[in-house]
Amino acid sequence: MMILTRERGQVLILLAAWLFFGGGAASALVAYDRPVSEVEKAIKRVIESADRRDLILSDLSQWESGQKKQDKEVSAGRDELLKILRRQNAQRSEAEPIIAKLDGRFLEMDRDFLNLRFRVKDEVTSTEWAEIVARDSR
Amino acid sequence: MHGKACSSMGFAALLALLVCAAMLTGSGCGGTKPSKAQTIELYSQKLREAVSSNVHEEGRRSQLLLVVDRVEALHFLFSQETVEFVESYRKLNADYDSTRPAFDQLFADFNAKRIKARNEALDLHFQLASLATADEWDAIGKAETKLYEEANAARPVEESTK
Repeated sequence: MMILTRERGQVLILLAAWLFFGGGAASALVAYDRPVSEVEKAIKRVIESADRRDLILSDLSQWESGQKKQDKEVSAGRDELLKILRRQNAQRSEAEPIIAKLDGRFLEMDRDFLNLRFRVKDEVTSTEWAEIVARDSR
Repeated sequence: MHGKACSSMGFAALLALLVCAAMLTGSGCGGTKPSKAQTIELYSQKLREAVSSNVHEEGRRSQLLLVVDRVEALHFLFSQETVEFVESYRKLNADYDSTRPAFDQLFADFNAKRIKARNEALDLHFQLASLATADEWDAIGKAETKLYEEANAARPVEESTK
């Protein structure tokens, strides 16, 4: 089993608790793998062509705007779910429609995340991609 | 673990214990800078105190503890699964030629694990709710919700692994 640092351990525990009701695969990556701001920095550093750089940053910006909107909807659903779970006599059947809606939203967020990933990849060379995703380039 | 206080705690308080356990098994609790995790711990401690002063029956405390043990195992399991997902994503993402179906499969597998863990967390939540009396649940439920809200606020978007 992987050895975790103290900080990583804290982040993981919080993330696990949050993912039960607050996010899907894409959310886990945004939270744990790499913040968008870091990706933007890497793109600005690696892509020399202003046209391509601006196009990619525009894609990122559009995705980020969409994510913010989706995050608000997820947050509202999550609050509604927690309100139900707060009641001792709440039935599982009350929570399930909200959970299903959240899961649907998470799938959309995953799809948007991967669409972005492939749009960006298609705009860069393999060498540029290697630099953008390199862990030590942060 | 922590004696009677622990045996009577609810779902949410366990999360704080997990956070503390992660700190203790890591490089220690010697840091002086308050962390977001410590904020969660603070809210959980309030719950623990509320539960300790409200749940007096030893039998139900023992039952709650068994449920809490399962919650603990669930959190550690899902934390590890999340680590493995992120590591798999990094490997796939690093390959310029990775295909979309490969990513779709990776995401689908992780989401299946997440949904399974979430459903189990819900099962355990309802077990805790059924074990507490209405009077006890008022304090436990309130604090549980509060902790989830704090975990949400503590989502480390710009402070992940660096």
